[in-house]
Amino acid sequence: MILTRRKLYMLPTRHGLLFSLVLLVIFMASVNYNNGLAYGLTFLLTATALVSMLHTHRNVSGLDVRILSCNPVFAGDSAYFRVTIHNAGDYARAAIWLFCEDHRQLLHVEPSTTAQTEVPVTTGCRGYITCAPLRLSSAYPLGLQYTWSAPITSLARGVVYPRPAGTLPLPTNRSQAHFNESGHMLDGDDFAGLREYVPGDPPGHIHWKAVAAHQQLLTKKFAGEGTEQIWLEWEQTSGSTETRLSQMCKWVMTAEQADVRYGMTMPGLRLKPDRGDRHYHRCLHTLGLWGME
Amino acid sequence: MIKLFNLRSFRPPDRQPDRLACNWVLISAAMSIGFHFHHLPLWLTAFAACILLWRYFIENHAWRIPGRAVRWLLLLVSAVVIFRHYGTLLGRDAGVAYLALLVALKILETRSLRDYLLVVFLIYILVLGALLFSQSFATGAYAMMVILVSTHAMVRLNRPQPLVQRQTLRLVLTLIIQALPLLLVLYLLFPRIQGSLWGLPHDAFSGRTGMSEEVSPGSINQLHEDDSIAFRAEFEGLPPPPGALYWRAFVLSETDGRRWTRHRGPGDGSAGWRYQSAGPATAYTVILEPHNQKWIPTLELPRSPGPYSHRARGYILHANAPVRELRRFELSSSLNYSTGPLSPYETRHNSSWPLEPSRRVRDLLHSWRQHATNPRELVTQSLDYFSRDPFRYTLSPPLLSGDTLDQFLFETQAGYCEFYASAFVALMRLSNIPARLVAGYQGGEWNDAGNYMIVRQSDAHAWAEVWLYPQGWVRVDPTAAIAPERIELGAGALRRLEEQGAGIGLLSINEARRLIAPDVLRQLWQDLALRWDSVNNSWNKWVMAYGPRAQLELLKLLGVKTPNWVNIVVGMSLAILLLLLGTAALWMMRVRHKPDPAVKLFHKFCRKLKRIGVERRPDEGPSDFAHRVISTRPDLRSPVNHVTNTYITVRYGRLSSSGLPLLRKLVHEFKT
Repeated sequence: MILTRRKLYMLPTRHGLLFSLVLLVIFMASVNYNNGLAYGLTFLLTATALVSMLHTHRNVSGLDVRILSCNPVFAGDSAYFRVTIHNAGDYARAAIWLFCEDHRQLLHVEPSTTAQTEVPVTTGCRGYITCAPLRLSSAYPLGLQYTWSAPITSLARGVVYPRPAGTLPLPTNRSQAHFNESGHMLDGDDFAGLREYVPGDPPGHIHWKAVAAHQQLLTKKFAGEGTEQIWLEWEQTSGSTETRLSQMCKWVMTAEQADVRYGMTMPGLRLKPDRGDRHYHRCLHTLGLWGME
Repeated sequence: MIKLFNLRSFRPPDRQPDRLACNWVLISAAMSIGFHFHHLPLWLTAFAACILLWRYFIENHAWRIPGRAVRWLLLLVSAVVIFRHYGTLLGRDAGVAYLALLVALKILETRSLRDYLLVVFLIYILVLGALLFSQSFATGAYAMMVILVSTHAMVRLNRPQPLVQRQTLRLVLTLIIQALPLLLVLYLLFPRIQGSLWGLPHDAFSGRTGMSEEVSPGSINQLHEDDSIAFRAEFEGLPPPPGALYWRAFVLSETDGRRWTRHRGPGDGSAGWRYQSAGPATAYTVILEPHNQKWIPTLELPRSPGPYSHRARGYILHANAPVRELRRFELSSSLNYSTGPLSPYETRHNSSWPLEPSRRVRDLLHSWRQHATNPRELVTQSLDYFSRDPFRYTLSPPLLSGDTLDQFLFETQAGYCEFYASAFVALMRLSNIPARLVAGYQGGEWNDAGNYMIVRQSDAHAWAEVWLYPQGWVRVDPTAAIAPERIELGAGALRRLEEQGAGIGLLSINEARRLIAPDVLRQLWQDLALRWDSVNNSWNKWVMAYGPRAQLELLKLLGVKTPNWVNIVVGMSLAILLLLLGTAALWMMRVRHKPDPAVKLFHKFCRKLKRIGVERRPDEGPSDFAHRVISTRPDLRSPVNHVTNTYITVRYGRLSSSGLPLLRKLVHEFKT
């Protein structure tokens, strides 16, 4: 959203009100002493304050503010929405405050560049979350008046996973061998091919030569990963839907940390056993949006 | 209520300003207190300087901020000392002292943005204080400097991230330059009010003394050299020759034989204002420096008074109120005049001499009367007598006591204009010829740079007027007889002649002129001084003399036939609004919104994808979009990822310049 004239408001600050009082005092003295130069001082300060309104407005106007995606979070944590502020003008924008709920931060955008930042949004329950309305505000350059923007909103949404909770231990149904896809046992250090990089892969596993050649991150796959596998089953949990989802969520986290291959069954849905970041998030995504789509 | 709460929450919070911002406030505080160096007692200036220095060390060398008790003690002690110094809490002089103290002590405890801005506001009031003492061009220029520096400090206070000095300065200059048209409109059109809102403090006009309104020759033996300007005069056409430049200020006809004062007879004296003029009138404008009195210097003799002035006794013009600010008077005078008959009362009053003349004086008058058959010849006799030895003209004559007339005529025989003029008038009165003393200024320095005349306090002069049948009052200047240089070359020439040890009245005018001719350096200095004065003169015209009267004239010039203040205020507000909008339009339109080339390329990439039915939502980030594209067209995974990753690096990363050609190549080669 580009901050145009219609989306910006302006009011004097407390300092600005005090300044008008000072102006009044100087003006009274000019009249009382019939002093031409004092009149000049009064009007110079008045004119400067008036012109500084233009400067304050210009400092914020024309900024292109965009709220981008946010990474998934667990319910109760803060979701961090990425925000870009593009300054297409040929002058720097100084001392711009970004307000979002209780959060506020100071920004500075150089000419013809884009500043990027993240704003935290508190999450209540699982599901989709959109960013709370943002507002930009600035009192630069004289601090006598400030301009602030209309709320900036966006359709961009993030997914909130259920809050992990529950006391049930990880299911130990590893014996179900018919779900074992891999026919033969391989040594854990054997190189087994390349796959696309997923955030969370250890840096030592990145295939740096491929990065240089394809400009793309690839991770070396090693055999021996995920030789054990378990099933996390909806039926094994109990209680309300939210409690059950929290329990499932807790299991997914534990299983991912325990370095096992895990699958998930939900009513009418079955995710094959796997492991790694991508699988982990797919499971949590399913749980977060369960019953919502 | 909710609305109000919202407003409050989007105001930028106060942040503690940084060290550099504090230093700028310190500089502007030092400048504003330094502005009052001449008005403040030395110890106070020194005290304030120490406090500022202390604050500097606190800010820059991690000294400790003094505790509350110390600060209160400092405030209390210095306030008491100021009170003892001035003996009052009120008035301009004491007020400025308290304000300077307040600025220094407030700055000692500043922490938050609010504190600092308060100090800047106090500095503005301190600048105002300086303007109440002087309104000269130099004062104005210095005030502008202080405003520039303190505005700069304000910008620095509101800017948490440091910026290159040059940029802040440019911003401040832009602010001020954009403010100038508004300033002009406000200054010229804002309705000026005549008179004060309430009483002025008793010291409001101290230091503005003009000429003393009485003359007593011989009481002071040193004529003070005062080069300050009494008034300036602009002429329509050529200025009159030096011999006609007699600026009449007041007439002294009442005397106790020693001291001469103004006559306080019945009526206001305007009834006696009758004369016939010959030849054209000389029109001129007098820009009078404040002298706290009513008289207006005019060439002899003034014609009818203009607005805001009236006639007074002895062909003198009086302003309606004491002149306490620079004032302009449009005047005209007749240089050739005849005043005609004198009333019996006036004749009697102007012929009286209260003392019994000494034997020597009586003998002198008796010997003159034997040669002279009429008053006119007696005047000539007397001037002749003064122009011969042993009378000499000097600016530092011996003191007189007792029978001053006798003593001057026969013993000391030395003096300046007042001595000769008063002795002449006394001799005339003793011969029953009506005569009186006129005081004012004679001559003036012509300023080529501004085409006007400067008359200084040192040009003050006294001469005589005798009533002769039939033309009436005639000016007689005994000084012209004894020291023609005074009239031809001016008062400054006399001083220089005396400095060089040359006798006054002994050399011919040309010899004297050669003798006192300035050397090259002095000439240069004089030229510069005159140029500077002409700047001041224009400044005075528009700053000090611009009051309700001048405003009315300007409005008439602008075509406002019947100005009333509602119209003026509406017109002024409209002009301000238009100027603001105009500035906004001219200045903000100038901003070039050139789109980022990376964004342009990415949009092209998006258009290509749109053709195969994948359209980017406006809120969708590049990577989210890429995920969606890949999920519908897995075959495009590699090129889409490649373009997206490069775009993100170019747009948000650091390698913006080197990555751009790669992005261009990738987008061009991208095929669906």
